[in-house]
Amino acid sequence: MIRVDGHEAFVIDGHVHFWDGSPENWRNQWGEGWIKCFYDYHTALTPKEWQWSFDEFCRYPAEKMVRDLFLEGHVDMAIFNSTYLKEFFTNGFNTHEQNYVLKDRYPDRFILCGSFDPRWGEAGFETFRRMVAEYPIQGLKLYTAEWYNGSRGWKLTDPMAYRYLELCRELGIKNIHVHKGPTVYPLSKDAFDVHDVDTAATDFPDLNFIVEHIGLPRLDDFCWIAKQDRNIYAGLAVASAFIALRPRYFAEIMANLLYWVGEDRILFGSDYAIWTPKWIIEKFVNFELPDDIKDEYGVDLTPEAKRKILGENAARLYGIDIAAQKAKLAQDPIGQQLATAA
Amino acid sequence: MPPSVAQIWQELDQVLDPELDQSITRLGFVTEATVQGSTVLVRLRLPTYWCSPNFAYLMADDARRRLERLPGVEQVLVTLEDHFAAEAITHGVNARCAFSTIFPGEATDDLEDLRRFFLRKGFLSRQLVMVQALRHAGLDDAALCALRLRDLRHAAGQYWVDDQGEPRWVRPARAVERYLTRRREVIGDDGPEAWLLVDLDGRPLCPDRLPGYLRQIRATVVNLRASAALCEALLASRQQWGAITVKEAVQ
Repeated sequence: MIRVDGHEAFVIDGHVHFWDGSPENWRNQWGEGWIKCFYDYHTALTPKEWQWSFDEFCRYPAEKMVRDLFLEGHVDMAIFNSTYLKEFFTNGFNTHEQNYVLKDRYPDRFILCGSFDPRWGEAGFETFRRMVAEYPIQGLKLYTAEWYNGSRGWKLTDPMAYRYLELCRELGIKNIHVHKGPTVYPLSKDAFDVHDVDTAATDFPDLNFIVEHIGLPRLDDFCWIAKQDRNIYAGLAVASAFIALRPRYFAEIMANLLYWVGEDRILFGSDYAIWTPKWIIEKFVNFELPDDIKDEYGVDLTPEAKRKILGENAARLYGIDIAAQKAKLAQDPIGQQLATAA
Repeated sequence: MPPSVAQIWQELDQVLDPELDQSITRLGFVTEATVQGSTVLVRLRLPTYWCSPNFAYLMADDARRRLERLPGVEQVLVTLEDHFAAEAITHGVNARCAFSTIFPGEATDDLEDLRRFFLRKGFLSRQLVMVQALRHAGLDDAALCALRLRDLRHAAGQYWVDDQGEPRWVRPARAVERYLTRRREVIGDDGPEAWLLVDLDGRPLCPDRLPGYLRQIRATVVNLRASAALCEALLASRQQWGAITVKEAVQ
């Protein structure tokens, strides 16, 4: 919980991971390359005083995550963006099973995303149904650039992807987080494309598509499609971390999003553990768009907009009644610990 | 006579990261450029281990082609280091293989489409800078939309527009040159009567829709600059892994 302009903001971190990037879990050199690349992102944008050692970064205990998010990080709830990468990591990187460890312990604090991959084919329908039956899956995280059996990626418009989206409808899963950000091994122009989200969002108007990393480095393309489809949302992970060391770019990105997408469709995300939410959120609540940018775009990052971005928008997507949820959270072990500390 | 190292760097200055529309030397991607007899050796290091192999190939291949054209050069060896596809790309570029043959079954031969896609984005971003330079020179939107190429005068490294006998200086000259170069590549038609400012379909811009048009371009420019800033920060971060071992280009 943190205050914005004197009013309490309910914070949902829209993008977190509980990963295992330790050397024991590296399946091959790609696993090492992956976690080192993540660590470069971490050190590139994290202020010195908040940087972790590489060892800490590879694998962190559940207690650390709870402290970084809830006890010290101003976060009330968080959305697990499960990432599988089984071709790089023996046990997967942060599968829904791995993330469930924390969801199980603190059920009201976390929203757990599962996933599907159209390349599983029809044979995967049963696996998907079983995942939804056995785990409290409330949303999905799709990673269209993931390697699988020699394939280097897929599109939301693939006919088999549509079959899975239909299954989501049937099973009542409404929120689809799609990784459209820095890609792994993009071989063709398609890998830079966010237009498959556009088509799918038009064809499934009852589902919500949260474009994680706002399509960076394809922000401009993302802005056009999000303007057209009301069920497309901007997930701020990666962009939010610009706020400390590259504040001007952060301001320009926010101005574009506020202008094209609007304050009702932007979701905060830290991408924990690449970045910890505490410093991002503290900077964000005090952040002002520079006057020249306000004038140029005719937008402002008001306290109301900040509260929507920090949590109200995500709460709406996941049907969370904030007042009721706050009361519930005050009673869980983390809420009690916070009350004692206060 | 073999070329000097300064000449090598000059050529490398001309090689662009297609996505960021900036020189690979400015971006810090060139870690080494040396001449040994008639052989030129170049090493490239990109901001991440996972940078797109297609862009990596385009940059390495552009570097090779440019340097091979220099008098006194018989062989160019480009090494891509510390990249998940380093070996394949290093070998492929030096053996002059097409991209699609380096990654058989995984890549289509659409690199020209890819290059064109980003040339068009680069055109837009350079155009925004050009418009800002013209506005700064004191031209209003109606005046700058009415300009034809012949109206942009050029002498002694300076550009100006005549305003009733008074020169309106358009600065910096580098911004003008960057725009004109890309305009030629993307739009073609650059006769004296052609419009200076055109959209991607070659149609002249009109003052009424200029603000909306520029706002769209602005998102493209913000995207480019934010991506470049991220790449710069990532490249700096990579230094933390210390010296790296890579396979040398096949001699």
